[in-house]
Amino acid sequence: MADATTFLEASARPGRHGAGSGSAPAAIRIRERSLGALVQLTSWGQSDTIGEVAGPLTLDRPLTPGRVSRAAGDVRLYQLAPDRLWLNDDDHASVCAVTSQLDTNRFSELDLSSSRVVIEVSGSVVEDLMARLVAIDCTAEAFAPGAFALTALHEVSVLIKRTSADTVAIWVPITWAESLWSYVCVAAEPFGYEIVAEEDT
Amino acid sequence: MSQPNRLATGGRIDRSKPISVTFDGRPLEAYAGDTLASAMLANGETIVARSFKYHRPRGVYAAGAEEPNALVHLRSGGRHEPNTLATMAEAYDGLEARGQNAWPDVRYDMAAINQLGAPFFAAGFYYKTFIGPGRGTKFWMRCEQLIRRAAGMGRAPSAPDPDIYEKVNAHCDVLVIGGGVAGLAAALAAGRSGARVILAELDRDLGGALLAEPVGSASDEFLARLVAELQSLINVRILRRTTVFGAYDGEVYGAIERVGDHLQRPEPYMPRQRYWQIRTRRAVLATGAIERPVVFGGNDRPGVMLADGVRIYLARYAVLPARRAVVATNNDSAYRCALDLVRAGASVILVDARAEVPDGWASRLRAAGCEVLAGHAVLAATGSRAVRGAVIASVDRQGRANGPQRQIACGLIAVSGGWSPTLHLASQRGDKPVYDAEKACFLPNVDAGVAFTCAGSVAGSGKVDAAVRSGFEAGQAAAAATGKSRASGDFPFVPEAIVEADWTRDPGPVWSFAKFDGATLGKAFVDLQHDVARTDIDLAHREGFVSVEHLKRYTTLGMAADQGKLSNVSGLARMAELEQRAIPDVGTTRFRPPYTPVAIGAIAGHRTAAHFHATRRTPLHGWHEANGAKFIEAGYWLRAWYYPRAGESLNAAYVREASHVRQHAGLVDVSTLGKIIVQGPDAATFLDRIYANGFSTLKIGRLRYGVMLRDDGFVFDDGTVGRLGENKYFVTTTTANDAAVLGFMEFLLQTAWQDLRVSVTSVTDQWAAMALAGPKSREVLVQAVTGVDVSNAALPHAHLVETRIGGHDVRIHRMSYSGELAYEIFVPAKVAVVVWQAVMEAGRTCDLIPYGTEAMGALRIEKGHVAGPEIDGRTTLGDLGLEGLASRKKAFVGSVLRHRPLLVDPGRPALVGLEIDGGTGARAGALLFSANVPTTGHGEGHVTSTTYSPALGKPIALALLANGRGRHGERVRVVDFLSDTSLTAKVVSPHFYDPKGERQNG
Repeated sequence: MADATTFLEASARPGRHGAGSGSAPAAIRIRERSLGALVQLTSWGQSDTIGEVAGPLTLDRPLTPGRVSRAAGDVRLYQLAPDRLWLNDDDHASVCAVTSQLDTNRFSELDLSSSRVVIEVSGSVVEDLMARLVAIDCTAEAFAPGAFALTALHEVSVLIKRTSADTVAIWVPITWAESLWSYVCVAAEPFGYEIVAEEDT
Repeated sequence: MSQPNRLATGGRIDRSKPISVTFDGRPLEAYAGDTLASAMLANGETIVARSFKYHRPRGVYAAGAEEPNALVHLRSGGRHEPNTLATMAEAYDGLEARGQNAWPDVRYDMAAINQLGAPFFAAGFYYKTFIGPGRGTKFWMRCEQLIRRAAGMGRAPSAPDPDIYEKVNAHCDVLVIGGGVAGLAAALAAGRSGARVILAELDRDLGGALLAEPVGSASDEFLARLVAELQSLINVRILRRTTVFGAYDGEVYGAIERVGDHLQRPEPYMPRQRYWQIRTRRAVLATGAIERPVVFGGNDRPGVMLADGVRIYLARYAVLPARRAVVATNNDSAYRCALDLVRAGASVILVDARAEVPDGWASRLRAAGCEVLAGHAVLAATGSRAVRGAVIASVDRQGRANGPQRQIACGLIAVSGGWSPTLHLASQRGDKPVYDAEKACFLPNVDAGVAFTCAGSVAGSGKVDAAVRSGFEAGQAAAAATGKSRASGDFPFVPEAIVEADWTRDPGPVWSFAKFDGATLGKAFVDLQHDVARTDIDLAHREGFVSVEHLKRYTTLGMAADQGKLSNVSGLARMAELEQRAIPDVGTTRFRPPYTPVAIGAIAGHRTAAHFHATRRTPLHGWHEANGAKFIEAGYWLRAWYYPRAGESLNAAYVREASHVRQHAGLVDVSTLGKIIVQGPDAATFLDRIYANGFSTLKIGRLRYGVMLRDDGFVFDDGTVGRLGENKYFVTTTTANDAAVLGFMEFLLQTAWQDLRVSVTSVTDQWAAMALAGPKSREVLVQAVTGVDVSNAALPHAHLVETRIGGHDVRIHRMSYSGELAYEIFVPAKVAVVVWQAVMEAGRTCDLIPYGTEAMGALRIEKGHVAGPEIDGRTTLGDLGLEGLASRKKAFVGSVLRHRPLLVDPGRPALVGLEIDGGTGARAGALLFSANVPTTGHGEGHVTSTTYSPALGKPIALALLANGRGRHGERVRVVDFLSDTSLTAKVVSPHFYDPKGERQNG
């Protein structure tokens, strides 16, 4: 199910904030991104790992914890645990097309599309910003594009994903989203940041 | 004369940038590059502090983080900071500093009268004097208040701190701690090898001991070359003004960077301090060494300083503290100080406790006009408010005078009792230092298996080339251990022109000097910061303290900010002497973090005020806010509490809202309910085991109330379970126990029940929820839904149906918490507002209003539903009247232990209702007493939930009362000792309203 609302619209004040002059480009850009469809597959750990369940799929790389794999139709697969997999795409039908290739007796399926909000941070100092937010090594050497990690931001469980050299997506639970958005903005103040409306991207 | 002690030339200060600072309101001239301490010394500020206990005048004693005396108040207002080391505070134009622990000021402190009572204020004084008199501890408790008021040094700020602080996580291959030559060499070697390096130096400048060399020395070029190459390496991050204060397991180090402490106020949006949490694969500790003091009579007088500190003030700040000086030493290093003093124009006498002095150094000093006395020591400093002279005498190997005393006029006594490697961080990691008798110091004893090494002075290197070599090799080894094996190039060339005095060469192991009878010539301090005198150590020994850890706590030796930097070895040496044991046999104390004081604000970082913790908002929060709701914190949640109309109070609003629901219809946000999806072929079996009642028999599309117990038989949580499919259940929990229940389920599935093919997932964020309640709720629902029959026949109580509202898929549970006809509408969070608005619109003709948690609570109390206050972890199914739910056909968590005798005692407090007499409600927590018994002790029960009941028109409450079910109709007293109020009440059934459930089932 596609997002019906821009969830953080009320708290996101588009424009330039924090350090630096108003005319200079901000070192950090922050925006809310559409999550699209998010579906969870879980297997029964003792008899099947999720890797075995997903065996029939054609992927661009084997399922690996911490690295995003892609299935046909550009559906992204995130292996969170031996028995847990997230499938994500803009289109719910694409995700269903992938899961339909699997043996339904071996896993459970659950729609989580409404459960997360995506906060995207980008800019030349994005690694420095992430160092202020999470306790994992977000340098390019340790967290290259395509990498993801489950970690804690302000003690809230989040998934972070390196989407490019200067961009990180933070998937936050929707009920914590406003608070964490504000927290990210405060951490970005020393660098100077710009909040970008989604349609501007 | 301004800056009377400032030399005309020299120093690493910027004389083109004069600045002004104030101390106790007096303006002091200074230059950019000064510290507050150097500015004080340059301006002849002799007394900068008062001692902790005796309020003795104290002056600047050292030049770094080891300073024991010069603790001052900095800044004012919200930026006020107590207990700041003047030696570490960089001076800036407009810096305000004040003395502390004195009245009216440190120059003339009324509390100096304490010195008269010094003979009585020995170690253990408080305990011996104030504990014991009278019965019990009352006398001590009163005295303690006075003692606490008198104790302490600085005054804590009360105004909010306007500055920000931040916390940063950093990761590296090699962390090098210390930017002296060893650290620089280590960072260079590791950096050249390709390792990611962080170099942390507490000073503003890199170079360590080389900064005490005169400007223009050969060392400057050497240093510049090292630093330039380091700065050219992109894989090396240099953190200046950064103190690594703690070493923790897992190769985690804590450090504080003083980002804006050297500025009047931090740059906009920039933090004052930054807390670095550094995770490294290897660490090189190049933390240097600290010069030790010498213990003699009056060794705390302003004008007694560490020799190395004197050198630093001369070389870095061009400050000559006095024109006539005595240098007292037991090792070679102080000879450099004497030479520098002579070169700066001072008249110097050097006394060396050793019988044999180093020939080369002695010759150089004598050639420069300095008197050098072998086998001599300072027995006492004379003068009251400052050093006026020194009493010297020849001494034996134990430091006792064995010749006539001689008075020497001087304004400075520069002392060196040897050096103590700064092994605090290694000690924090569990390293037990070993005593090196040859070097007369404790050295780190790093096991081969650990991920850190020591290099330079901390490892016992006494000369620059040795320190550089050990640092370089340590850096190479650390990088290699992380797999970085690129060639690290040549060893940095150390110019021969660097003049060195090796502190490790034949030091004399005596640090205390006394008269021939062994007594010191006046009060002699071992720990200047805590006013611990040598006599205190002697007293502790006489009283039987033989453990060094006990000695520390009894005397306060080496506690607080000092952390034994200066006092440790002198104290141990005295203890060893008294016990006639060797120093290694006495041992040393364990150092603990932090190495230097750390501001709480720096640890908190951004986690203050609104971000003290993350806050949870329901997907409908914005709607509530826009519609005037007041909010209340419920754990991490912010919940809509009530919706006041103009001028309406909380009480008026919730009574209106609750009454309205009973008569018409209301909509409340219940998104905070915990929600868990249980899936898998064994889901039913799993739920049967988790809950006291059964769920395998629950039909698809049906709901059932469920209660789960803990292993110990007490009630854990309650909620509803809906069966969505053959192998799929939707479980709700209380708001408070959302995470706990999920964790409990996961725990069991991953340990005891690994064979079950079940997965559990929290969907609290996925689903928003709203409860539509009231006699008109069905009417509202009919207007709102499309394509589904919601009549009582089609959707009876405890059934669910999936449909659409406002164009979005929803699931409706026929379930009541209020006792009214009610529905819970579950909707994907991102469309919650759309659906809520659609329901509100549909209810326009039915007088539908939003209501908050206060009204919701009132309705559930009227109905007698239990919630968190009743399920408090101490109640059983029987206590709550839920015994009938427990299955007798199956085992479940807690099914065995719930039958323990104590848990089935019929006298246990049971859930009852209370009708309160009068118009005042009871307070939750109030105790219950029978009508005619004294109201003492814990009573026979307590009030759990309380409200004014709109339906009954009186205050009511739920309570747990001993043998409660058999006491309906009895009158009890409701006593709240906190507010000192007493009410009377009638015990009734907890089901105040519609006990047969006709309204909810209608």
